Amino acid sequence: MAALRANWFYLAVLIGLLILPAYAESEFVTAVMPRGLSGSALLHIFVLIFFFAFMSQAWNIIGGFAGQLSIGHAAFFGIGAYVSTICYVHLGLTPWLGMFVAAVFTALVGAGLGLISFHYGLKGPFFALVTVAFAEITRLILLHWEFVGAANGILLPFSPNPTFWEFQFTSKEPYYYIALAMMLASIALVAWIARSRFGYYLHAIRQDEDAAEAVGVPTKRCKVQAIALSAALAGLGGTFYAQYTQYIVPDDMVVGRVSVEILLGAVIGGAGTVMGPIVGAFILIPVGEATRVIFEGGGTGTSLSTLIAADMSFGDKFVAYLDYLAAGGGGGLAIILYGCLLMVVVLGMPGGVLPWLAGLRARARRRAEASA
Amino acid sequence: MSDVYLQALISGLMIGGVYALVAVGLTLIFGVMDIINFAHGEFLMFGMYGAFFASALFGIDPYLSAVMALPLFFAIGWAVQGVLIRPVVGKSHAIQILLTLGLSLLMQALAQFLFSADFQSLKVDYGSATFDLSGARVSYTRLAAFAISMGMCAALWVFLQRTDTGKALRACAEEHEGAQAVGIDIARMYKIAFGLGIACVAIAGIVMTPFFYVAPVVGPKFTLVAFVIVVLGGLGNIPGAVAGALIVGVVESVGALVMPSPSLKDLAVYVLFILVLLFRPQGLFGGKGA
Repeated sequence: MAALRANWFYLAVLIGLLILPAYAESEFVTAVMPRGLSGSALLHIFVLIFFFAFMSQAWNIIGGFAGQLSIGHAAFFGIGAYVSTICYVHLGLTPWLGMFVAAVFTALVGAGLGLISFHYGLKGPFFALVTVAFAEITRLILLHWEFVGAANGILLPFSPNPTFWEFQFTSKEPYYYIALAMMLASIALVAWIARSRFGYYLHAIRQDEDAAEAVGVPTKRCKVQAIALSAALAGLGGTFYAQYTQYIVPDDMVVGRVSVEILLGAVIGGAGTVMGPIVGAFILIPVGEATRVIFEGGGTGTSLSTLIAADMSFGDKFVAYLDYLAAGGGGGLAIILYGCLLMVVVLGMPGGVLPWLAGLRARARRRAEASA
Repeated sequence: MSDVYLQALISGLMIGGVYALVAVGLTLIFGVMDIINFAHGEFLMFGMYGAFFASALFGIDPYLSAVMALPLFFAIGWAVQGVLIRPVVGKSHAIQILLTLGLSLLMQALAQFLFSADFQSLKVDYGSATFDLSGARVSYTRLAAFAISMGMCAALWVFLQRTDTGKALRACAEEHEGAQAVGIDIARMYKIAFGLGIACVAIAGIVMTPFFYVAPVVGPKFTLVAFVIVVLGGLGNIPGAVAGALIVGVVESVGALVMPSPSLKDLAVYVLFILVLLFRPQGLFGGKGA
């Protein structure tokens, strides 16, 4: 019953999302959304949600289903963006094909990392640390490689009248549907994995790797396949990001913060569940964007350094500082919320929001049965 | 040995000494509690900001701040352990890593909110003073950072070897249940270990402020370097961490010489890290010896 209701719910949401762009500028949307958010600004937020859901779903395969905590997925994301962009800029290959070159390349990199790590039996925190170091190495290489623009990154060539093959669009709508399609495809893929033999193997590895090995699960091979698949999807996401923002730079993409943001959606929604990353992204992005809009109004215009150096009494400085904070301080409130959410979820609902809700429902049912 | 290499060796040892204090804090926490603290570098960052504001607003010398930081950050560590970390002790590593990742994310963003993303630097009159050591220039502030960090490591080592509390901490590191069986208050030991670990890393940050910029993003690099050192030295092994830190410091500064660009120096450290994890995960000097 509950599963059926959930499916109707998801179907209704899907239909809503499919028709949303047609009504993005309608009076109804303007009236319903906070601060009259509509049109391309609204579509942008949905693009972010779909994109984060997709990236988180990619992470979910290795981090959730296989239970191998990766804190370096920003590397696959960044490599994917660079590969398709290099193909596009230097070889003239359309990003539509470039994204699959990127996916194959990141899959190979992921498989390589997995083969080495799992061959030497790295588990738990040690695997996590290797992924962190791997991402840092990737960032440092990109940062010093002149061919790919080093620290300046690559500005994608701008076409005033882009064709479809250039994967550039003047309106947000095409990006919206591409991101939506990517998210839906990732859900379908993971739903299929969850029911396949491969998915059961991953589940067994996550529960107890030694036991899985003992009953004949090819644990090493499964983990390598999982990280390759996960990396391939993250690489596709990288291409999308490159085409959407038209600008890629190592210090914005291959950094720890991005690696954490990628895993955040899945961990908060429910790692190792099919819909967890999607639910997580639908919670995180609106919360983050709302925080940015409400609390980060642009600041008081004074920098902290001028405030410190100002010729005022300490009391006056303190009052001025409170004004500075009230105007949003140095920013970062959205990330503060993300950090709090992550800790609250880890402490209060360790499986994530979806498994927690399922637990609540099961308990309510038991109580109803007991009283009946 | 040519002058540039001597210079690199000495600068490497100097910064390695500070790394040692960062890593000793991490390895103490890991050794006693079996917790991997991904927010370690963020405590260093907050220590640096504390010293920066004490100096910029009240003219307090950073070395005086370092002294005051010991009880303050011990208390902060004690409280963080009691409130946030305690519920995940004994849980899976994934849960612990995610919790401390959340804490690190929160602390970085909080620093950005409170102190802005601007890079700050603490200026002291004696900041640029140097002396000559058989051809190599050594700055007094770096020497002081090295000496204070090494002194703290030694003091911690003596504390762990000689005092009852220190012995109890080591007993916890050896065997949780055994320690509990002989009447050691484990919960209290965890708070002490976390408090000491946090005080170490905060002081390491403060003694660097005369020659290192302060920004919300300084933490992760030190967290990762501390992991490298701790794995190199053997998890939970304090003398191993000190030796590992000096090695990493030298690898880094010699790496800056031999690599095509000085900012690629970290590459050498991370490659070393992955090699050690793969081929000698117990560390160069064996694990949990402390």
